[in-house]
Amino acid sequence: MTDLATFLGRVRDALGTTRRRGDAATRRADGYRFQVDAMRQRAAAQWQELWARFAKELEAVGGQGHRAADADGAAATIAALASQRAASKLVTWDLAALGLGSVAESLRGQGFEVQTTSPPRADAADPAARARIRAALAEADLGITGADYAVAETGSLLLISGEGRSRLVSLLPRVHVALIRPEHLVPAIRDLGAILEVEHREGRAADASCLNLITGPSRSADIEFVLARGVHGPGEVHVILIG
Amino acid sequence: MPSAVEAFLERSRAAVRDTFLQTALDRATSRLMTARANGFASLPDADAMRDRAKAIKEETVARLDHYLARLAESVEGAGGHVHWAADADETRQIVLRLAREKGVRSIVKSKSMASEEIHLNAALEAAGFRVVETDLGEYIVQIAQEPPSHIIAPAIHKTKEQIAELFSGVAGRALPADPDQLTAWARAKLREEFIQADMGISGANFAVAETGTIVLVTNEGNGRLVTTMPRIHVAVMGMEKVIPALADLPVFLEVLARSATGQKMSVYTTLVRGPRRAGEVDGPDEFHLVIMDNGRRSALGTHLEESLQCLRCGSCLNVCPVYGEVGGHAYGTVYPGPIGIIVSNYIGGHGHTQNLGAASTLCSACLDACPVRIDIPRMLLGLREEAQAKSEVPWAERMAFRMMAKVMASPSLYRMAVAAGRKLLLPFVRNGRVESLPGKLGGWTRFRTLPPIAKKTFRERWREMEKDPHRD
Repeated sequence: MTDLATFLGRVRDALGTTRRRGDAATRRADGYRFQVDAMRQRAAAQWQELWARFAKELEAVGGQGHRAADADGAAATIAALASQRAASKLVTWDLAALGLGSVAESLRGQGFEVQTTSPPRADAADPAARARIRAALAEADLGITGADYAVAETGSLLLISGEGRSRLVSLLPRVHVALIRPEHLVPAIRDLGAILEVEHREGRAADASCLNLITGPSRSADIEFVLARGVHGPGEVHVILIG
Repeated sequence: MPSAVEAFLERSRAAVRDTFLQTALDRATSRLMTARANGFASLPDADAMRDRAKAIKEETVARLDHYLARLAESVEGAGGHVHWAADADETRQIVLRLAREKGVRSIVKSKSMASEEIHLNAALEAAGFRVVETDLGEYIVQIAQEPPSHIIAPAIHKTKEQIAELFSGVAGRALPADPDQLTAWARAKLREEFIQADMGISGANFAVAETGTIVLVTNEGNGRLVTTMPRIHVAVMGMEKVIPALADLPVFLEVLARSATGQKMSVYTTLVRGPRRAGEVDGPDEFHLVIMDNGRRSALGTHLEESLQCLRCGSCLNVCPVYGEVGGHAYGTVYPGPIGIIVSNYIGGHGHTQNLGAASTLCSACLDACPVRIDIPRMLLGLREEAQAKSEVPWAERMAFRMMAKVMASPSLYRMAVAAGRKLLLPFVRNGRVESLPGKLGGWTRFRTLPPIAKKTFRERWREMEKDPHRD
């Protein structure tokens, strides 16, 4: 008979000491990435159904879904929304970084005042520059962002903060417009567990101060249970699917 | 000073006579209950989700020291600062010191039961800071100088006319009693407060140990503003709010909003982690997390430990027949309703001075409604036992129950007691009902009549039927 210490000692000796030993956390990270990859493959194959569900759920919570063939189409939709609401001042994330720089250009061309909230890095560190951006945000009528994920089950958008991705663009103006592509659609809230793990370990969330999962317009029922929209955040949320 | 029970009864009598409060409570609790049922209808595996949520909470509380250490390490790793507060006073001192050291003048707050629990606003105001609650309901009760009356709907006891009057007082002009217009006024007014505030104070629905992420679940957006606009963000959390990893979060999100308001998801689920990063244009310069014990430790290892799994969704309030009649203020504690009765026993370190275990019917509706299946009735019974053991129950009542226990334990004594009871009740029977009982027993017949004891007991009838099966 052999005791535990002797048995394990022999195994350890045979493994040697030079070998790199991966730990459980690393393997767990691989597991999450595997889950997310598999989920995204399934989602990509059925994005049209996911979009239909997303739009339906978004409408159920008081938001609205739109489709556009390309960036020009998205700009036209935003221009129409802004005109109907007499909104002239627009603020945006760094749309160029999302490959949608032409949306901002097109809106400027149509006479809207479009302010991006993505100064050079040095300026972001300067309180005076940030104060100027905040003043523009406070005055803006409509904010345009991208989104990192769009959850079909609930009509929710996941926005991760960062350079060129102000937290306030989706918060201060009365109208929030988010631009997404089919690859942003994911099926369900429960998929977010693995997504958050992967984003935190190796994605955009690794060095972000804030993530927001946004499900429709701001609301309250604090006065006699009467539903009021746009209490502190936007009273309207529009999501434009490009593609 | 009246006992907690006497004070509860006194406030309850007033609440039951308050016709508007009764209407408001009926409306709020019935709407929230219906909403909850609809919300869960869209979650086919709700039971599995609730079991999972409970398992995670159980596991976390069992290793609370480990997860709290991990949380602190992660928050600091993300550039935040961690403060440990043993009690309410330490928590207040930490926030006050931060506010003084950082030259703060104006503070905005998002809804936080943790800060209600330690009366943080009063302490900050006494020290000369301007403090504004920004959740619409909390703002209303702050102007009215009242405590909230429901965990998730703080101002349900106010009419729109009363709210219009309160807001008009602040605005300096008459505002109409219209919820939309009142909300619009509050949005504009509170926006000014956000812009000038130096410090934002929030609570935390969850704190993720592995990443140092603080999670806030809100509907209005004030939680986002409080954590983004001021240059300092301070989050105050009860130490039981920690969960192990981000992967655990969706399970709670699936059940939390459904339980609280019937929504599939609240409008904003905000995950904040440390201060503003290089390249970001907004977010605070500094992030501070205050981890508060304040009596929670004393529940560990006791029959009340399970209550540390509470998500503060308020669903046990909505289904409770007692809360539904008396409302939140009757309890006289920061946390009302069934879960409030339990946590008030240890929060604040009062050490069982607030034993309202009897202010319940033990109907178990709270257990059915709880998203993490906290066995509230078990703990309420435990509290009743404690009250009994500590002689908080009157002598006559204790003797009566002791005798009853003897009688119930012995078949022959029981039979004798039934026979005697049948005779003793006879003089009080009118029209086939016991309409009023004398003395202390009168409480039983004050609002209802009782059936008299049947002429024959079940056992007697059974014996007769065995002798003659055809007899009716």
